[in-house]
Amino acid sequence: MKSVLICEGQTDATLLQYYLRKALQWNDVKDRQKQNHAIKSGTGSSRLLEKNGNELTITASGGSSKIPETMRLVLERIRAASASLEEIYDRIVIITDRDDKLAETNMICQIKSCLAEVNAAIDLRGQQWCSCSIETKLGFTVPIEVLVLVIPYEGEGAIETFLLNAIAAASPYDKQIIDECVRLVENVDPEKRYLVKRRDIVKAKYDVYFSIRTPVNQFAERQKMLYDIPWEQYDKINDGFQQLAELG
Amino acid sequence: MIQSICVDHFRGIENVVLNDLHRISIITGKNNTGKSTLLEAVFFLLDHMAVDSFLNLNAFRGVAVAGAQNIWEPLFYRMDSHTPIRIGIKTEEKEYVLECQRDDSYLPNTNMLLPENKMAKFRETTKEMFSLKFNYASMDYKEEGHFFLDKEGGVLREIKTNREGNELESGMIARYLHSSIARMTDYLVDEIGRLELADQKNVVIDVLRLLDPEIEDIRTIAQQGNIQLYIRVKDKWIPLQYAGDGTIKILNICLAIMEHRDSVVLIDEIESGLHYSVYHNLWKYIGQLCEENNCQLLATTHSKEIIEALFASEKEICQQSCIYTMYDHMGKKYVRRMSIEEAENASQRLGMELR
Repeated sequence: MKSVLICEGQTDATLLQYYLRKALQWNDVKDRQKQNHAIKSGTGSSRLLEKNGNELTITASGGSSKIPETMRLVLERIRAASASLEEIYDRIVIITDRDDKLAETNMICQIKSCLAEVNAAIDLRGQQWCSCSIETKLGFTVPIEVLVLVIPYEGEGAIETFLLNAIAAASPYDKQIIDECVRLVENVDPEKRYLVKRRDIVKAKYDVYFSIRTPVNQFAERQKMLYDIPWEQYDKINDGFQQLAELG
Repeated sequence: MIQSICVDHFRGIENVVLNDLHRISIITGKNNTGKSTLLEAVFFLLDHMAVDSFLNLNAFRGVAVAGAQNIWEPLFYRMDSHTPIRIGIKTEEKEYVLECQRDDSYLPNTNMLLPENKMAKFRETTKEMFSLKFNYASMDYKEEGHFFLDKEGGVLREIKTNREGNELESGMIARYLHSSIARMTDYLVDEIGRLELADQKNVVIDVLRLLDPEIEDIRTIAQQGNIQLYIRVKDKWIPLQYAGDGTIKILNICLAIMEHRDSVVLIDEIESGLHYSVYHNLWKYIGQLCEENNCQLLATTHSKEIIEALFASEKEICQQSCIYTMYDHMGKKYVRRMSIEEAENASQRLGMELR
């Protein structure tokens, strides 16, 4: 079985790769030829993992607004698949940020629209696997399943919020630091000279917390800092990603 | 130019159809999906009048044995000689169809060119070695006849046409370059000789320089009664046989196209013997030669690099090319066709395997 996981940016892709490797025992595909056969989204950044003969491509679209574009590529690949259906992605996971109250509704609407373009009717809902079928150009009807995860599940935010919530839930001490960091970021720039965009504010909260937790790595890439945390040990992360266990 | 090919019950192909062929049509797919068989089918149809085409078809596969079971039966799908073979191609102007089936009852007519004393023995032998009945049609021209074997395993032919005096119509011809063509040089001598007389060998030299920029010339040279091909490198004449496989392969491709004006060249594993660095220029020359000679090319490949070199070719070549991928699925053969633009997108963006 082949699956594809479409996320927004590189931070999301890094966390997801980490989690899938550590918590769900997926491994990197070493074969470079095979790695080349992962779909290439807008960022050109894709990673192919394998587990028990199943393959999973993680691809970063380059932002929420680019996810439909990547979804169209996935559907194009399914439609162009050969009769042996080897290139088919049986399962598609979309992980996006809950930037605002309408984020989930909007994403579901856009994904449904992509599927409608290839005549696939689906009763798509957030946080659950939904089935539909797609007809390939060679006339084969293939069943696929789609999962849209919008994180964090409670409140607005992004994957960074989701991670901070997970840490806070696991440790009252860290929760206190996180709350202080959040408060600082929300109040430190009243004139909005630096912290204007919602996405930047989310990242600032995350970075401030990590500059305290791992001060030595504060200038390291965000992705690198992610690897220092045993995310698989956080209940909230495991709960949030429990449906990913069904990928293989 | 061939626009479509339909093959039924030939070798490993139960049924396969290729539509919308272009001047350059590349056929890819995993092993045993029928790529070479497809080329053989086209060659068999276009070369069926040559009695040695059966032997050639076996020779391409490295088989050199006689007998109906060895010559006829491998041509049939799953060696089942009771289900007829049907091969059809369509060009802009014509449709060519060849049908072959086993005929256990056929005995050659006495007007066949065999002495009467041999005929008695032949009749005995043919009882065990069934004949191959064939029907061939290209528009209003029709042939019917039999191929049969003499007791030494040689192929003989008896044929009737619908033309006065049993006249044969010369149709489209094909050249088949099989994957191990690299060391066959005998027939190249004639073709280089023709180009020398026509003062046209410069194109061949240009193509050879793709592999070795130091090649200055190619010539037929007679020595001790044998005419051989020599290439001149740094003022020295060297027998072509001493050149690398790639040189001979590229020469074969180039000459096949030049000698098959208004026809078709079939190349199995076009990349074999050639380093990837020449692929881009190879397409350039192939595209140019095919265009100049109104020749169509059908080639199989397992090489990602040669496909990618085609993507990177000049727009005109890309527009005249397409890629077919053959697949086995649930015991059936399927073909996926892509234009070069679609194939490039599938490979580079969708991450699809085209080989």
